[in-house]
Amino acid sequence: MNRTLCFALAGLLAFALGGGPCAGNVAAADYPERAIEVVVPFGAGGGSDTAARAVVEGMKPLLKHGVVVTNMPGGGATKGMLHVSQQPADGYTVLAVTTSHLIDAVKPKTRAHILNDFDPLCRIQWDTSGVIVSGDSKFKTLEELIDYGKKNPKMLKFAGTSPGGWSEIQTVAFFKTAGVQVTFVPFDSGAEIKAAILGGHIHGAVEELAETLPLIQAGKLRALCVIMDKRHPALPDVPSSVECGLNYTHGLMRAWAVKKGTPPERQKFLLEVIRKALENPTYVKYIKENHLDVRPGYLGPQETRKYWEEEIAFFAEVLKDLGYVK
Amino acid sequence: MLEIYGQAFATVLLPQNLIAMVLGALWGLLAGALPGISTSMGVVLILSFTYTLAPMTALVLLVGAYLGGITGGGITSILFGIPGEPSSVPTVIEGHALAKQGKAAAAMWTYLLCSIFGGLFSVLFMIVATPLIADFALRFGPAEYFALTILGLSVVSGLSGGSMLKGFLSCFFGLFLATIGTDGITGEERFTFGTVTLLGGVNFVVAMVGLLAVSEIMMEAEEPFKEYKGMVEYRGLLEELPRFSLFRKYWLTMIRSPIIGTIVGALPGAGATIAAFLAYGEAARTAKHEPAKFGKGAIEGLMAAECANNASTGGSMTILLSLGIPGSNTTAMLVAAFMIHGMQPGPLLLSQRPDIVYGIFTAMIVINLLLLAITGTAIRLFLQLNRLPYSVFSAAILILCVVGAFGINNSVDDMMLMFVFSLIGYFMRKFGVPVAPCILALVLGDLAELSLRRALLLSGGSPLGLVSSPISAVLLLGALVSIVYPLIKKPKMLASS
Amino acid sequence: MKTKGEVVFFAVCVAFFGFMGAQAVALMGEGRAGEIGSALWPLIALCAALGLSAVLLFQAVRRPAAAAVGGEASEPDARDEARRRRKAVVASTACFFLYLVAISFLGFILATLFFIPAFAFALGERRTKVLVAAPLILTTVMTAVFIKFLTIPFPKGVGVFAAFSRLFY
Repeated sequence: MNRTLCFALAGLLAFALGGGPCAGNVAAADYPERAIEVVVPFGAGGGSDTAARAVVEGMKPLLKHGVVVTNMPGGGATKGMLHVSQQPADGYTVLAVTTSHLIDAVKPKTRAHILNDFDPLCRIQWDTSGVIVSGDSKFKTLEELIDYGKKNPKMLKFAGTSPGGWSEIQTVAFFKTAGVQVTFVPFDSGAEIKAAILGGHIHGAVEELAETLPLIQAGKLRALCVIMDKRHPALPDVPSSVECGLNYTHGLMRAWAVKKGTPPERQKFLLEVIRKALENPTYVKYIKENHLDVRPGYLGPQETRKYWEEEIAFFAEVLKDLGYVK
Repeated sequence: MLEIYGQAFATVLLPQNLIAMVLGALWGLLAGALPGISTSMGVVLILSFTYTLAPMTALVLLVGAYLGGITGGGITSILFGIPGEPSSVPTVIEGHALAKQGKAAAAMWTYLLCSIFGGLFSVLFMIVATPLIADFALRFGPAEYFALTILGLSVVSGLSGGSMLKGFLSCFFGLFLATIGTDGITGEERFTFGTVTLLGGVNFVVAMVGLLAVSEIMMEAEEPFKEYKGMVEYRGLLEELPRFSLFRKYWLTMIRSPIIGTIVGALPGAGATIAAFLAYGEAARTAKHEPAKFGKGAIEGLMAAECANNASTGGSMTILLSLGIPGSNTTAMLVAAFMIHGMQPGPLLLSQRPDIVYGIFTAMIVINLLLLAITGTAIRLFLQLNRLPYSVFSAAILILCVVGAFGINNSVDDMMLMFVFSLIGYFMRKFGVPVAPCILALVLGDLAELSLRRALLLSGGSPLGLVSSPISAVLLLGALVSIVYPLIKKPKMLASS
Repeated sequence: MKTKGEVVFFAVCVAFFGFMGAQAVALMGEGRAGEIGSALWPLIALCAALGLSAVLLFQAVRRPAAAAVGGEASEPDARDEARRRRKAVVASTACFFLYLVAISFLGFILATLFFIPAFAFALGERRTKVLVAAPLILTTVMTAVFIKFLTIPFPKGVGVFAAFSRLFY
């Protein structure tokens, strides 16, 4: 939830009222000759949607025929990905990729493979998570939490959202690095998790920090550690995971990709436009306010592919441990 | 205290704020009434206008759209039999049945008055008891959610019409439908047969539109051709306005439903739709005057649902303003609005910006009154829509059904799924299997199952964890009584009619 | 007549819930430590539904002896009327189905334009004025509200139809 959603939606509305770009003109020669569609495989208003719309807002002034966001939620993030993989590889359909797609690539039932069926354009964001417990929790430091967890295997109960997805992986993998066996309890939304922690129904959660900051600052929730190599500027008193002696810095990633086989010059064009959009003041303001600039997010196409390959290898290992992949 | 509210009223009634509220309410009513665009989408779409506005003006505009959306859902529900919002499904069941009996005007007025009453009730409740509601809502863990849904499901017998066997069949069918898709606890795919469409489960609105609205048109195609729907008679305001005695007769429903609405609205895992169904179910369970009418145009059911879904706004805003936790999709959008203007909704908001918090409280009162005035004026106009030739009228309804089914996920597959459900709904109606229990189970089933399994995860697999808190114990006991009691009292209802 | 339909309906129910029940059994064993797994809850619902539809099927099978008398007495007129009604239902349902299919190929606007008169005709509407005017007016209203104003990304159709749709959105 953040303010650039609104900037983005301002554009969307202007688009709606102004009738949109008239893409019926077939005579135009150059790419792009009609609006570029960005498929967000999640519903409107979520983190991925907001991020995509923020970038799109910066792209609009650079594209004559405009750019539209289409939300295609369903099946984790599979439905949108499948849709893009079925469109022609002409650079008119772009997929907003998140970590869920990388996790999907590990699963045996995967329907479209992010590495084999897509070419990455760039990584745009690398989010930061924290270990969060209730403000009146008996655990004051990460050490106490880990101690308790080591003495009582499986008794430490942590909430998250997507079973077999990013949320479970980051919870379980983090605690495994610390040598703790944790019980993961999946909920439907971040709001439910916060209510469950505040109500004392569950010990805590490993979650992206931006949405929990107000409750942490009010003392209702407590962050025991931020999962990063350095401290978080908004939480200077909370140690980082590396400080705590844990070699674990994974975070939620957002990137953009096109279908494999899209002409290289069109990929290059899109990358240029996106890069310029990332420097747009509106976007810069948005990531600042949502603390998405705490660590650099941008990676070029080759680096993104390499990063994806590494992450997928890591997820494969965790999912094997969890029994999702045999 | 009085001084604070006096000041708040003065701010809220400034011309620019008043205009914002009127525009927000109008837009919300439109978004709510149109299928295919939900209240939360409506709020998203006008968020962009709020940039240049003063914070208070921006917020009352959005809150206006929020309250308007929840209220607007009832209009399409009664007139066309399509829920403009998921939370007005019970309104479709009872309100549209009333409209078909030629009581559209009376149903519209009752719906409107109850909506506004529910809305105002919850605002007052929230002004008096914000910390209380928030604390109570936080005490709902998985075990309590489970107990709540079971209590909701236990009213099936009250919604079954003639045959309890068929009612329960319909209910279990709905419970099964709710399990389709990715399992929320293990991530396992269930009953998807490899399709991507079903991965996210059977969308409740898609199923609903098929089961209720389209199958209704199919049933009516069997009737001899008719010119007009015959429900346009409007005998003037004084004739159509419900009498006070109506509300006195159903006083229990009028008090209970807004309370249910406010509390359930404050639960992040539940919300307006579940609130409406729970209140509707409670009304069906305890109906003294005409229990047999439920499902066939019971005004009491309409009253309960509309009181509750509007009351959920108060609950949802309470938990948002006191803890910063959005209790519904729409309030999640409001978080964005706060952030645009440099505010973080959360525990600190009341001390940092008391003017905003009290301003929103008072604005909610004003907006409810505005909604009453706007919708009240427009009721006559809405009723004119029924003057369309019947054939065209039903074609329009079907197109709206398509828009509604498609608009949720922008998915063509959802349209086809809706068609499948219309066939199912048609045959269910044809053979006397009531549709309402199936929809009730589809709404509550997912939450019931997942809460049960979450509760068991938390208690380490011990079923005692389900009844260890007083709230869940009381709710489950109530459910038990409500299932067993009708079986003892009217065993003959078990037999098929 | 009606009882025969009922027998078929509940037989289909039994088959459906039985089949899904078998599917649910295959889900057994999935779950986390200490909870009941993916299969138990759907199995409960399916078994209960299976049992209930079996009972209802049994009741329907046993009834015809009593009900048949009433069915026999129906007049030829009434039977004609019933056939006519069934035809209207089938025709209008088919229209609706074709509409849903056509949306993907013709795009929302054209499909809607053709659907309205076809459906109205299937319902028994014969006034030319209505059959011509209503589609134009309604399609314009729907396009203006849902495509222009709310920008719902309806299917645009394929080929030349897509080009046509792009003139509007």
